[in-house]
Parts: sequence; C-alpha cells; structure tokens
Amino acid sequence: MSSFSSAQFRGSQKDLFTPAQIQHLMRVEFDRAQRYRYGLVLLVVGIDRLEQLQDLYGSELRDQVHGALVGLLKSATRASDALGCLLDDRILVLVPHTPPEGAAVMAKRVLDGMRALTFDCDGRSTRVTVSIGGAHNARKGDFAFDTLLEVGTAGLKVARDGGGNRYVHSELYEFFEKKRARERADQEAAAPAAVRAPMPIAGAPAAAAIGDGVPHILGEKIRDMFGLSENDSALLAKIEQEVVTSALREMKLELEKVLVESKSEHQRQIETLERRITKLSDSLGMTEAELQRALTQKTVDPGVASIYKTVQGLSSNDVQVQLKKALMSKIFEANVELRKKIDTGPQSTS
Amino acid sequence: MVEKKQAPEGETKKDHGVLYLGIDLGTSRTSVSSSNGMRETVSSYVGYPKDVVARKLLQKDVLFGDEALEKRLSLDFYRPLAHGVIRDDKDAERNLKAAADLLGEIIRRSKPRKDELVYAVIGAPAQAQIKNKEAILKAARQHVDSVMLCSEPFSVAYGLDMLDDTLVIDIGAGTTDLCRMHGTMPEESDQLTNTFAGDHVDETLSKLIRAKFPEAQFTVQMIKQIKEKHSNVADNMPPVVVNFPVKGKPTPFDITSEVRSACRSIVPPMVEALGELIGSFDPEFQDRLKNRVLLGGGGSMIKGLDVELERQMHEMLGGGKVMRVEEPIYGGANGALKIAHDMPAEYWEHLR
Repeated sequence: MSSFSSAQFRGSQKDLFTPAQIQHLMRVEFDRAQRYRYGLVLLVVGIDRLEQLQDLYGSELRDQVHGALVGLLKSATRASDALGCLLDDRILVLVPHTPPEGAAVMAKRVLDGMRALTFDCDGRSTRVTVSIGGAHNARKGDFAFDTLLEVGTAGLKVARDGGGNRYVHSELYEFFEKKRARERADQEAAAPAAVRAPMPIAGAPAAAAIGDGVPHILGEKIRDMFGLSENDSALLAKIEQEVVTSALREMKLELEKVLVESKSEHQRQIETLERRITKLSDSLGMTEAELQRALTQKTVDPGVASIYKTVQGLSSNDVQVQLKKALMSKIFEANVELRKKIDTGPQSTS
Repeated sequence: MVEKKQAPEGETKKDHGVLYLGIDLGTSRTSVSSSNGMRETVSSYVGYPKDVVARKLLQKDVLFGDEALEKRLSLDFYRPLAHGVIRDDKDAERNLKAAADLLGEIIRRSKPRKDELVYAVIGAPAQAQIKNKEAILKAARQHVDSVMLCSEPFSVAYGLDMLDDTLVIDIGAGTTDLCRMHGTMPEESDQLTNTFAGDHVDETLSKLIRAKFPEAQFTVQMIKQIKEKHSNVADNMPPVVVNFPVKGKPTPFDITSEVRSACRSIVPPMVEALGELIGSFDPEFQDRLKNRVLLGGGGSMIKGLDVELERQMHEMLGGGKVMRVEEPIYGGANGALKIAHDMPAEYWEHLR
C-alpha cells in the first residue's frame, strides 16, 4: 500500500493523478483485498449543506472547508495506508486492513474533529459538519468495487437525509448488486439494437469516416508525443490500445456521472420501493408455493390474505418463537381481560 | 358495552379466508398495513357536510383526510383523536362516530373482499385508559370481525424483532409513548406516555412566531405544514424563510430559530422519561438499554433528533445510542400486522 501514499487526496489537474486514476488504484486495492481476503473499508465523506454555504459565503469558504477536511482525514487516518480522492463534492477514503468497527471509530474521530473546527466568513465564525457513509468487504461472496462505492454513497445519503453530522454504515450490498445485474442485463439487451441502428447525430461525420480517421490521427499524435519512428509499429499499436481503453474508461465514468446527476426525487422513491421488493422477495417465493398448493386443493379456498399469514406468520424456525408465542398469549389475555372489564365494570378506573 | 356483530340475513357468507390488518390509529395520521399487501395512510380528519347545500356541492356524506381539511369551511369538521385517544368532550358522541367512520374508511382502503373475515390489531397509546380503549374497540367493531388492542410502542418494537433490551420512543402527534422491552410483555411500569409530541411542537412554534412577529397571520394548519417540511434541531440547520400574510400581503419571515426551539422543546421531557425508565431497570442491563433506543413515529422524522437526543442523553444519563425506524409512518401499522399474523387463529376466534 505504501506505493499509493503519493496518491493521497489528489484531485486537481495539477496533481500527479486524476480522480479517475485514483479510483482505478482503489479498484486494484479492492481486488487485492478480495483475493487475499483482508478487511477493507470505504468511507464516502460529504460536507453538509456545502451548496448553501457556498451560496452564502462564496467558493473561498468551500475551498477552505475542503482543505480542512482533507487535513483532518489525513490526521485521522494512517498516512501509510489510506487512499483518498475528491469526487464531485465527496471525498472517498479507502482504508485497507481495517474492520467495520475500526472504521466507525475513525469516522467518529472525523465527525468530532470537524465539529470542533470553526471557519471565518466575513468576520463571522461558522461551524461546518460532515456526513459519512461507510461500506466494507467483510460480507461473504464476491462483489465489485462499484457496489462498495454505491453502498457507501447510499449511507452518505441516509446520513444527510437524517440531518447530517453522522456516520451511517449501510448494508445494502445485495440491493445494489441486484440493481447492477439488472442494469447490465438491460444494457446487454439494448446493445445489439444500438449496433444495428446507430443514432444519427446532426452535423456529425459518417461512422465510417470516424472509424477511418481516428486511428490515423491518434497514431500521429502518439508518434509526435513519444518520438516514435515508422519502425515502432508494435509499440505504437500497444500505446494506441491503452489510450483507447483509458478513453473508454473515462467515457464510462463520465456517463455514470451524468446518469447519477439525472436521478431525481422519483429515483429515490423508486429505490425505496425496490428495497421493499428485495425484502419481500423471499416471502413471495413462499407465497407462490402456497398458492400452488391452494390450487391443487380447489375445494378449500382459504383466501389470498390468509395465505400471507402462513407465509409471514410465526414460523417454528424463528429463533424467538417461544418468546413470541408467550407474548401473543399475553396480548390475548390482556384483551380478554379488557373485554371483561368493559362488559362488567364501571368505566372509571384505568 | 362491546357487542358482537351479527351477520344480517342475506349478507355474503364470510367463508373465504381472513384479511389481517395492522392499524395505527393516530391523532394526526391513521395508517393500515394489510395481509393482502395494501398499505394506506390518511390524515385523521373527518368532515360531514354542514347542510343540504354543502351536501349537494360536495356530493358526499362524509369526507376524510386532506380532502376534509381542504373543504373544512363547508363541513362539520372533526379531528376525533386527541392525545392518541378518542376525544371525550362535549362532542363525545360525534367524535366516536367520526372515529368509527375513520376506521371504516381506512379498512375500506385496505380493500377487503366481501367474503373474507377481517381481523385487526390496533395500536393504542401505552397508557390509554379503559374508557378510551372501550371507545376504540366500539368504533372498530363496527367494521371488523375480530379486534385486539396492543400498546403502540410495543407494536413498533415487535415489527422490528427488537424484543430484548430496547427502549422504544414512538413520537406521534398527540403523545410520545416510551416502552421498555426486556424479552417479555411490557407491564405498566415499563411504559410511559407524555403529551410532548407533534401537537406540542405546533403550539410552541405558533407561540414563538406570534411573540416575535405579532403582525404575521397564520393558522395551526399552516404551522403544521411548515413543521412537516422544515423540522430540524441541528445547530446549523438550513434557514427557514416562509411567507405569512400581513394585512393581506404575503411577507417573508425568517423563523429558523423558532422552528429549532419548538422542535427541541420535546427533547428534555423525552430524556427525562428515558432516565426514569432506564433508572428503574436492573442496573446490570441499564447500559445495554441506553445503547438501544429506537425512535419511531412521525416525530422521528425531525432532522437531527437522534443526534440531539444522544447529546442530551450524554449530558443527563452519561451516554446512549439512538436508532431510527426505517418507515416512521408505517412502523406501528407494520408491527401490528406482524402481531396479527403471529396471533394463533383460536385467539381470534375467541374474540369474535
């Protein structure tokens, strides 16, 4: 990990690595953690109400707060193994060899540290808080870095929606994995059609012209940049391929960014509903089985609603089945007692 | 007296199963979760047309929720529940009818089939009196075949399977109910109810605004809407600037600190009640209880409330951890539905 220390908290174009490259390094680190099975935590840190602060006090305060937060993150994490970068208004911090509990301690340190700071704006001192979403790889099974990022971002959103100034550790891995799988399937389903009928763009040159021209222009640029001769065609081809791969990755990131930005309040509602669907999926499987059973016994119709009692009611496999049975009995007795009191007694006592 | 409903001759025979309902009958909102998958919530307002003209205009005998609120000038308008129970004032009979109609409406919205029985669990405030419970039962029996009451905060905890060493705070409009869960049925001593809840915030906010901006004109409904949109207890909450009419002209007012103060006004009584329930618990388990405080009900949507509660618990009780339920509006109804599902069939039969 020490090789990454120089990549910490780099974001501007003057720096050695771009945010996309640091994210690539994070992906590499994540893959390594998955392969060698060591714990790793991603913290997605966001400054609360940053836009409003910027509107009120200008972009200077924004830079001041960002700088202070990066400083705080550096001091709160181990310099040797924390990797961070700016992504939009969020800061990503990847901390390998750390369990979720350790990340909670670290997050608390950052929250406390930020609360203690004051910023000077036009002679007035202002306090700023942050929210943090956390995700870890301690969960069984394989999943991608992007899932980790989405889970952490979801945690940040919950933290912000709850008023900010808090750390939320999200566990929505399954939800985002399923969502990603669905998106991949949709893209794959849509791809052949797109290939068959590319969308015409007004004023754009024909596809064949682009295909013919791009390698030629790219090759010339690379030759100029690296001083390659006509004999270095193998090296040129390799560099060309790397450039194209890198460009595609950048385009993919940009596309993802645009998609994220286009999500609105409706999307939030859809996600809430999808979460509920995920939670209910097991019950639905059981319900289908129960409906099948009911179909085979056509003479006995217990009603659809009754089937849900079978599916969602108290199962003998429930770890607290005895306790719950006892509680049901107590509720029932209390209601019987209540009926008796109502039926017989005066209504003045509580 | 609670009387059993007799099926009149010619009524559809109810022999095609049971629809289970979990109902949270609240001062501000009434919610239902049902075993056929329906979930509905309606503001707890009921209105009857004032006269024949209003009846002809509205084309309805009774209006509910936001529709009733909107047309309230043409209606005999009722908010049948106060402090979590059916009002027992000079309009007691009318309130009871309004509560029964409200329950009927929420049950209708859960879309029961004519040929199925309806069994319901209704959440009642933790310390409701027998008279109040009787009124709720009476209202419910007009629409369901079997009904049970249970404590509201208990149903919230049951719905989340948090039955051990948990302290539930259910912040409604009329009451804040606290319930100590310790792996058994909570007794009277495990539950506390106070009236520092949503309505109290509305009242406090009205007073504060009236004191600071006497020229501003507003109604309780306007205050309620402002609270629902902007409620926050954080030190650095976003500014709340609203328009109130002043002599007919909309005028902007900055009420940030008033909103914060009003929202914060429910916290000290809550922490005091928490202290009471924690302090009277087995000393060995007090820390566990403190670290599992579950915040539910509409009031739990106040932004930053959990952090503020933790801060004040830290000051007054030496620490504590607060969690929020995922679905504040349906937490009570979901829990009540779970109880309805888990309740053995013979118990339901017995209470028919």
